[in-house]
Amino acid sequence: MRRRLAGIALLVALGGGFLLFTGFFVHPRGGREVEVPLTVQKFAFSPPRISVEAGDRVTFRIRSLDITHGFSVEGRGIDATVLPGREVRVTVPAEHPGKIRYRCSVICGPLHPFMVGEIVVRPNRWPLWGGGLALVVGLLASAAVGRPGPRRDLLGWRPLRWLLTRRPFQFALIAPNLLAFTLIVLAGLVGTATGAMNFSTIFVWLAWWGLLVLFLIPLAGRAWCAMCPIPAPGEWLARRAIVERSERPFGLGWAWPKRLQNLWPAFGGLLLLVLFGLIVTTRPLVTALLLLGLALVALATHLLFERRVFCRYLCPVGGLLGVYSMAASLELRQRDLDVCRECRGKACFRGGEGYPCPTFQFPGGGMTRNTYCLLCTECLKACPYDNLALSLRPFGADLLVARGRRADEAWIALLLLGTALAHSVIKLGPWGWIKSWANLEGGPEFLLYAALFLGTVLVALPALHLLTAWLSRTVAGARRVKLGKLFVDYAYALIPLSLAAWMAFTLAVVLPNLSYIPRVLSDPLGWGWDLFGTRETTWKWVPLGVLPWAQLALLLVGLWGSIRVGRSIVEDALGDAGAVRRGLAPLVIFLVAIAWGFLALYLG
Amino acid sequence: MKRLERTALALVLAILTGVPAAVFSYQALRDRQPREIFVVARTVERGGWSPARIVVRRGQKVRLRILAEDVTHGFQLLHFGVSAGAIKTGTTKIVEFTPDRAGEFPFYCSVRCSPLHMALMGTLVVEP
Ligand code: SF4
Ligand code: SF4
Ligand SMILES: [Cu+2]
Repeated sequence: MRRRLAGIALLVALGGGFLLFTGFFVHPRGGREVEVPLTVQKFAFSPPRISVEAGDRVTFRIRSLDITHGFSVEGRGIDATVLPGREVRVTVPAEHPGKIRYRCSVICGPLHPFMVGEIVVRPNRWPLWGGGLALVVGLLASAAVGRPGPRRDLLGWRPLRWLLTRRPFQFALIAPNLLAFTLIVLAGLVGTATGAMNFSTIFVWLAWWGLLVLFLIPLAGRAWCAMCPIPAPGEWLARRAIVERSERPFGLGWAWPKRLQNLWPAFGGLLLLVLFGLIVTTRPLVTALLLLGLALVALATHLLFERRVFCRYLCPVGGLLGVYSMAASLELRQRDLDVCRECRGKACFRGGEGYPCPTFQFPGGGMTRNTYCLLCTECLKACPYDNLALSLRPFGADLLVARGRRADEAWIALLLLGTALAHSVIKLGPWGWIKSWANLEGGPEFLLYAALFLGTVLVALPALHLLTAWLSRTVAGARRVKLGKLFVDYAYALIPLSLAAWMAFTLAVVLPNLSYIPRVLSDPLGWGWDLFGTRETTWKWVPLGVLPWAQLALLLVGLWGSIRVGRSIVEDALGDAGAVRRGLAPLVIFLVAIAWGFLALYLG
Repeated sequence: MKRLERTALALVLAILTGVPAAVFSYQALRDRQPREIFVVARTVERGGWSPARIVVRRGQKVRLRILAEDVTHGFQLLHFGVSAGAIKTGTTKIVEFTPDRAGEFPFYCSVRCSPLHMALMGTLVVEP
């Protein structure tokens, strides 16, 4: 039965792939001249989406209904300015099947970077092909058996060990970020209110976020937390030292309340942050106040409570990093468990030469996952036996660890997946109405948007997830397994795919907007400066043609990872082989459907 | 306190005070450019021209550097035949002219920039 199904699915997938492939080389059937009247208005094109045949030539007659906008086609040299009261004609040849995105190229307000429109060039077989590939990946990944991969201790390399155990090491990481932080807050407070021209918005939401999601998280987990300037002043004050190990703490040093020893506070903060995401990421003042506010809360908690409870329980970004760091390819753990068993002082936890672990982790044996390790390197400095290893490992290794799975982490994973989807629709989609709803332009509209957003991320997606868990339990015939436990466990299988989706989303936001970075470097406050002569940079070399391929690849890799993790989670939960095979199917279908949803959104 | 600790503290304080100090002093330095007047164009909703009143002397060459700060604007001073055309957001244009009459002359934005575009007006005062 399963064989036959697999065979049929494979055939369907190959068929889809073949169709798309032939679509790529098919001779253009179009050849028509298509004329489209296009009106622009803050912050959308109307019609937002047209479709034509490959080989057609589309001529837009563009008129602005309000102020000056621009029209530029992503990845091509076409660029025009649309002044109000004057019609502009732009011709876009639609040679190849697929999707052509165009965007506004003259800053017209806060949402300008997200003002986009689409030409769908038929026959667009990307979604079909992508869906076929997703199915193939799904089948292959669910058949493969995961093996715990090898670890390679980087600290075996002497110079690195030397560097990481120097006391000023962490400060050296923080200092440049503190510099950027100061400029970000200053620029947000006194600089231009135009987000695209202000150092704060561009550096936080384009440069920092891009580096974080595309490199730092997948490669090094929570490494950002080691260099984050937000809690640093509080920590320095509480320790009464910036670099040295001091034994005279300052502040009250209370224990964090038991009821809040979880990620729900971070979940709440994250929810607010993503709900108001469009406002936060486009308004310099809001960005500055947010960062400043976080730093003040961190300062207060450092003075009242012990260690870095802010980072451990409160920080919304910390919640995000914690959940995704489990997928990272770097981990800090003890080297030899026996040495830790013999160890009297447990200096890594209690403090010694170095500070005690700021997030109450016990790397000498109790720590099995990255979630709460800030990579602050204190335990490396504390351990008298040099018994800690910083290792390269296979991606996603922690997701297989059953011990310590929790509902709060699971809900953050679900929230992040839902948000990736919602923000892809809001920011990358061509639909102007949802942008203006999310932009707090009107009270009732914003409430509608909030209901839609919260309904999606807090109700609809979790409900589907619950349905998946229930189906899985039912078809596996494993009534004795608690549904709540499956709900939590299965959420960890979503993590690789949702991280990949965030990467695909981030690429599509960052690549076309990359030239804002040299611009704000020259003119950080939007005051007409030109420090480096780059204030009017427009980069044409950015390889936007690779974007769909990169998005497809990322999503397929994420899907692969998710299913591999999912398989091992299902094995842990359901035990016997037959039940596992049946119980895995709903989860795989759910994951493939999500991956396909993203593919259809990005490429369809 | 050890030397390292003191250095780190000095660095932190230098960052926290140095960045604002550098920013504001650089801006002050730019403002002292002698023969150039820096004008920022904003929509009326956001405060309009800054400065909205420019004072110059008759017979002396005037050089305005105009920055469109929030959206695309224009600059038009009809009495002296000056028009900068469209100034795209985030860019500056320079206009130069020599006023040959004394008096007060209005200047306008010449590119529709908001519903209140028509009200985006400033005054050039030419002293005799
Ligand atoms: S990591 Fe080092 S300090 Fe911590 S328990 Fe092991 S041997 Fe002891
Ligand atoms: S486990 Fe070590 S590196 Fe990780 S947060 Fe604790 S002390 Fe820092
Ligand atoms: Cu626009």
